[in-house]
Amino acid sequence: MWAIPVMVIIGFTIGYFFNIPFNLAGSKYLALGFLALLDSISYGLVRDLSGQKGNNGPILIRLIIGLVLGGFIIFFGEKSQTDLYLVALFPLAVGFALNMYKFLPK
Amino acid sequence: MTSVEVGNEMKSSTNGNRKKRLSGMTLILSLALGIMLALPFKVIPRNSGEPLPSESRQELLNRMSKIEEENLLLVTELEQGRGTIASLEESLAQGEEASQGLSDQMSRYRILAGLDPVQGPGIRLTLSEHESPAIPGADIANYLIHQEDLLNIVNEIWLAGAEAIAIRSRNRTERLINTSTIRCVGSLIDVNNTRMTPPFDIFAIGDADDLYNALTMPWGVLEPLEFYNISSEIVKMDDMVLPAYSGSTILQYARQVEEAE
Repeated sequence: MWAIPVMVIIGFTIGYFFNIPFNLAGSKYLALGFLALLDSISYGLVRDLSGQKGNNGPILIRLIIGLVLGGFIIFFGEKSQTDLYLVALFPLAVGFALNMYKFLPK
Repeated sequence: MTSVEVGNEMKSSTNGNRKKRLSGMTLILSLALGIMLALPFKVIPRNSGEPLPSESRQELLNRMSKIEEENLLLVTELEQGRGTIASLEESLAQGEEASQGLSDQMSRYRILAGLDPVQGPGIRLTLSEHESPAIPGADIANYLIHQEDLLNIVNEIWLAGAEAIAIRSRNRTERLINTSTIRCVGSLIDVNNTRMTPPFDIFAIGDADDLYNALTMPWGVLEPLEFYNISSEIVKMDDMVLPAYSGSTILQYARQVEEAE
């Protein structure tokens, strides 16, 4: 478990001291990416802690599906002048909330 | 898998084998999450001021692109109109020898007013922004070219005897006239209501040596910019052509003073 905060801190250091071109993506897509990461990390954590093996594939698939579907919804919304921003983020937020729910003491 | 099953398995796992190995993908994504968490600390200083509401931004962009299209059409019409006027003036000048002097004088005023393209020797000054140093707490806005920088340079060039000035950014060149404006609009700079981004090329027709010396003198307008990684390059040019001012010059209120009878 301790490895996760360590990796987050390493990532933060990299992000802070190197110019990673985040500004190429719009703010909506950044929010989507952030939420998709939270969802996939918590999903992976649940699987890892429940003792399941071979979790890399499912985590990656969940991340990709979240990004692709959410990205498509936002893109479609922008093209059709409809604000579908929250619609795109909602499933990921629900997924993240359900994953976190599994950590609650039973 | 339901939440109850996971909860039970997690509970049993903590009782039995305490060391559960985290999958590599979870760790990689944690790294990516950390990188994303650094984003607010990198971006917020750049966008100082009130952020635009995300809903209206797309609408504003659409409206702006429409206005730009209309603007291009109007510029084309304006150029056609000016061509007509020029041909009429030419035929007038040809028809009457007496009007030759008047035509010359008009030509001079048209150059002064920026209504005709102009040619001559001068300088080209290129201003470019570079990466700001990753100094925590440094104000990144200082490392960008602002309206004040361009205005100071243009003032200095006028003062040094420039007879015509134009600013180019990418493929747009704007001739400066007496009603020209240079101002910051967000991260862009509007010159004659044309949005421009660095690098900027500033062309000035005049005595190349005078213009060069005015810009490069100690404590001059370019020296403070070097401190903020804004590079400047001056090239003396034997000949260059500056385009005519493309905006409207219609006067609605100002008119000649009526002489008392």
